[in-house]
Amino acid sequence: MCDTCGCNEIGGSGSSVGRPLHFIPTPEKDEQEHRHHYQHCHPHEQLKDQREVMVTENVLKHNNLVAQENKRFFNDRNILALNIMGSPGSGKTTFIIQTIEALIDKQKVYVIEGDQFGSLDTERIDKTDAKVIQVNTGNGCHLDAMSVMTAVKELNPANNSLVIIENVGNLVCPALFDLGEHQRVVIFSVTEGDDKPIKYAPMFHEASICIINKTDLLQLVPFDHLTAINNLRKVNHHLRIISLSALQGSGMTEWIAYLKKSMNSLQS
Amino acid sequence: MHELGIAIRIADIASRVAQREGVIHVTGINVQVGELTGIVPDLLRFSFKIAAKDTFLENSELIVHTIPAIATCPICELQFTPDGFLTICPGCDTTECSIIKGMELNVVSIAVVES
Ligand SMILES: Nc1nc2c(ncn2[C@@H]2O[C@H](COP(=O)(O)OP(=O)(O)OP(=O)(O)O)[C@@H](O)[C@H]2O)c(=O)[nH]1
Ligand SMILES: [Mg+2]
Ligand SMILES: [Zn+2]
Repeated sequence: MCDTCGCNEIGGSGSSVGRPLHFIPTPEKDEQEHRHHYQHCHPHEQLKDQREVMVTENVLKHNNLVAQENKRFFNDRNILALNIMGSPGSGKTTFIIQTIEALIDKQKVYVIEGDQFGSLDTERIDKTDAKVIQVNTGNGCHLDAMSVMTAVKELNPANNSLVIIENVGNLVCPALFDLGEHQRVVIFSVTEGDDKPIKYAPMFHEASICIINKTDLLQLVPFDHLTAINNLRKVNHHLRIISLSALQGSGMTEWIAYLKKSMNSLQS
Repeated sequence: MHELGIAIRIADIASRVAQREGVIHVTGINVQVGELTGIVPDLLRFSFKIAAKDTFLENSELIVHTIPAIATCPICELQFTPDGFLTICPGCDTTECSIIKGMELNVVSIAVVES
């Protein structure tokens, strides 16, 4: 078996000179799928003066280390941190505002608003009593742990508070990036269709809570609630699913009760 | 396109290792990309070209090794190829299976030529 790619290609047998080198330029510019087998792995011969330096490092290691630091920061202050993800327009900001309104009398809430451009959502949150900070990612389609660290330092959230991070509207990219949150919440709305958990599976697989939003529109769109729940379960059997209407507030009590419970268990 | 963000991180790792090794010519960078990461190998190679442009990695080749997905069943311990993230055990139909391979995103090695 080839060390580097783990492939079981034995076509290149007989060439056991040195360690497998994956970089030997071959004359054939073969564009087929198993291209790397022919082009790099086998035969395993070495170019003169060329050597292979083993690295074995997770590409996201740096992000993950910073995320761990963020998490330590939150834990030291007994802060619960949520990473809210979902497609553009799924209702993240509306949901966050409802959550703030339900808690703010008894609970300090801070919001980190991730958007590619502008500060429209920040202006909406600013009308509440929560403290908000804007992070523009420009051409980046997701927040990363570093940008969250910078934002958190500036926000300087109080002990025992709640930090809500609204990620960039996107059902694909944010899934890979740990921000140091305690809970990943993915919001998808009934107008997006009950097949989304299957089509954007990584996001749903990495989440701990799924909010099915805009249930007030259930009568108007061909969205099968049971199919949606089954699809979610197929992709992630640990997922906690809560259906609600962030606009009208129905179903929010279940979410708020769950949130309070999470905060209590963190702070006990 | 999150491939660009990933490509930049790969270039960072390769530069750091090359510097440590005291080499200036990196001919190739081997990366493992799990099938379930959502990273598109072609887009990653393309993004790497952008990330490496005008740097000493400009002519380095990014070699993407796709790692197939494998899931395992906690009940009958069967290992099988899941249908994406749909992990239904073909042996006993349980849906409580876990993905054990296919989420990799690693720089495995770099090939260097001594300067
Ligand atoms: N009918 C209905 N509309 C909703 C609901 N929640 C949000 N909306 C509407 O959906 C639109 C988008 O809501 P936002 O809260 O801005 O969505 P978002 O996910 O923050 O959007 P981005 O930040 O742009 O990705 C707005 O017009 C909301 O009023 C809901 O429960 N029901
Ligand atoms: Mg928003
Ligand atoms: Zn089984």
